[in-house]
Amino acid sequence: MASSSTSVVVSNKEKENKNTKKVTLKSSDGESFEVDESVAMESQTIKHIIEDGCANNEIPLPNVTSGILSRVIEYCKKHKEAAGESEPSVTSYTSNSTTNPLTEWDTEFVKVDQNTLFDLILAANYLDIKGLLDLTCKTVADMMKGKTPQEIRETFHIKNDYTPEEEAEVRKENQWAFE
Amino acid sequence: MEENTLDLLSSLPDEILGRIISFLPSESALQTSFLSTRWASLWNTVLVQHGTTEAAVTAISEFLTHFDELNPLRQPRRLQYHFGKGSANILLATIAANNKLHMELSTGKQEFQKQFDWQLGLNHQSLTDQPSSSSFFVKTLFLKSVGFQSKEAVSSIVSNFQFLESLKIIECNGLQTLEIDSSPRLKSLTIFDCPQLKSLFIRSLKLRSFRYRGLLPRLLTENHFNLKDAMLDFRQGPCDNSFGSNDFDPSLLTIKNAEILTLCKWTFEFYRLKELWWIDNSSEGYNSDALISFLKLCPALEQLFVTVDTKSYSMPITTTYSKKVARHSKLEHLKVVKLVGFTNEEDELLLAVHLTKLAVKELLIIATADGICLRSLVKVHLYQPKLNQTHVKYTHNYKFVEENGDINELCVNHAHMGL
Repeated sequence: MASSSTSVVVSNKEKENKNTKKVTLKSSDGESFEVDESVAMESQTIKHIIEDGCANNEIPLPNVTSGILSRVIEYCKKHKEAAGESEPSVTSYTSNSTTNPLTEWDTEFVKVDQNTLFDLILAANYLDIKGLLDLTCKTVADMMKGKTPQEIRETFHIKNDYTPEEEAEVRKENQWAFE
Repeated sequence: MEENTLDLLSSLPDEILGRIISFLPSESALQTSFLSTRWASLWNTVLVQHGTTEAAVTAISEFLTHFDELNPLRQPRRLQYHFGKGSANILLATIAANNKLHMELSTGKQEFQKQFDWQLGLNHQSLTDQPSSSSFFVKTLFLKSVGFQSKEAVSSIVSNFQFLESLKIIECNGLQTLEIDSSPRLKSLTIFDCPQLKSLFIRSLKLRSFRYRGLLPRLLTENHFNLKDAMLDFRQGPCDNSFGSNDFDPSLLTIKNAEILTLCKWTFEFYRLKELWWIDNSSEGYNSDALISFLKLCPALEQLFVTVDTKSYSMPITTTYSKKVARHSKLEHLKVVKLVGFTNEEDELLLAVHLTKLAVKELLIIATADGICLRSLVKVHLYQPKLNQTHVKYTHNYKFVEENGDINELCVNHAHMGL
């Protein structure tokens, strides 16, 4: 029986929490990550797997690479911590207040290249982590805001497959909506 | 550093794109449909339903209630409702941001559109009622191609819209007379391109904007309303040759205080006027400009009587002006002029120069024949050697030069252009 030594990742806050049950998540490229079960359950997908009693050894996540998975875990840890603190002075961690330190952390978290951002979106979708999905989608929306369609195409390398006639037709059809 | 040239965004699943779009401001969310055909397909899901004419009201109500303005792709924004005999009539309803609804009617086969009269009764709900913030309500309504088979269904649907502020009726073939029974909330009415319309009766108390394009119909307005924005594009002429009836006169009163106007010269010609008495005021020296301009609208004038009465009322002038009477009264506030469609360049240049002399401020004059190629007026400084003592007189030292600038930067279009 292997002794379960106190993991070094246990923060000071978590000393109060005796239940440091762990799960292991395995990325598509074979890397294993051991995390607190409570952190892993930020993902509804993983939560259901655990609750259904299917998580014996490792939970394989064939849709998520190790690079992305480590970031996702970082996000879940940070947000679980913040929820755990629950001091009266700390407002809800979903608030948009810029004075909220979690918001600042989130902003830094999504300062990544487009490839990584879209991989995070897909991972958050697959793992069903609402906060992360909203954060990443909102980031993309912010990149689109205030831009003309042509500028948006350039930012995201979208090919304009309209013929000039088709484009004129679509604009004419929708003109009323913009009047 | 590998350069990313792949379009990863468009390859995301529909629900995710929908979620991203839900974070965009609602006015610009629909613009994503211009990005590519894949994005357009997100917006084009249509809910298809069949039902009776009577059930159309309920179908539309439910459709509107289910729409989620904050997440516009969650539910279809289009409803295609088939009704009537053999389900031949199709109502296509489309929702857009800012409480807009577009309803277009069509019949399966191209039948001759029977002429019909339409009495459209709007909702007389009191002004104190406020819409509930949770459900979608219609503020702006576009009705296109309403025909004799669909007018009843449309009337019932429209009478439910108690918060309607703006109504636009376009391309209704066969519509012969239109009577709009209005509510105090209706502020804006637009009627475009209804080719058989002979008679228009408007009952409204607070109408602020009226836009009409087509043949001039018989206009009857109950209650004088003071328009801020009037577009009277009657360039196609009167709908019947008995124009000149007194029915048009009240409408002239309604536009006197407008801030934005479109007018056709022919509607203001006093082509029967033979005898005119013009009473004018003169504060310091008489200025005949207004009279001369008016006379140009009186092609049949035979006798003219002009009385200058210093005690006669004159509109107070809001800007200060020089005590010296100018020979020609100036246009103090004119800043921008756009000339479109002049076929004779000489005429165009003459008018432009004339306006320059009338303006007080530095005037920007843009001319274009086709709307694409722009020219702006510039002063030409001609250096001429002094040949002799007599000064060579130039008729004008201005010319139009081609502009390569962006059309939008140079000159904004009139509010009624491009409608």
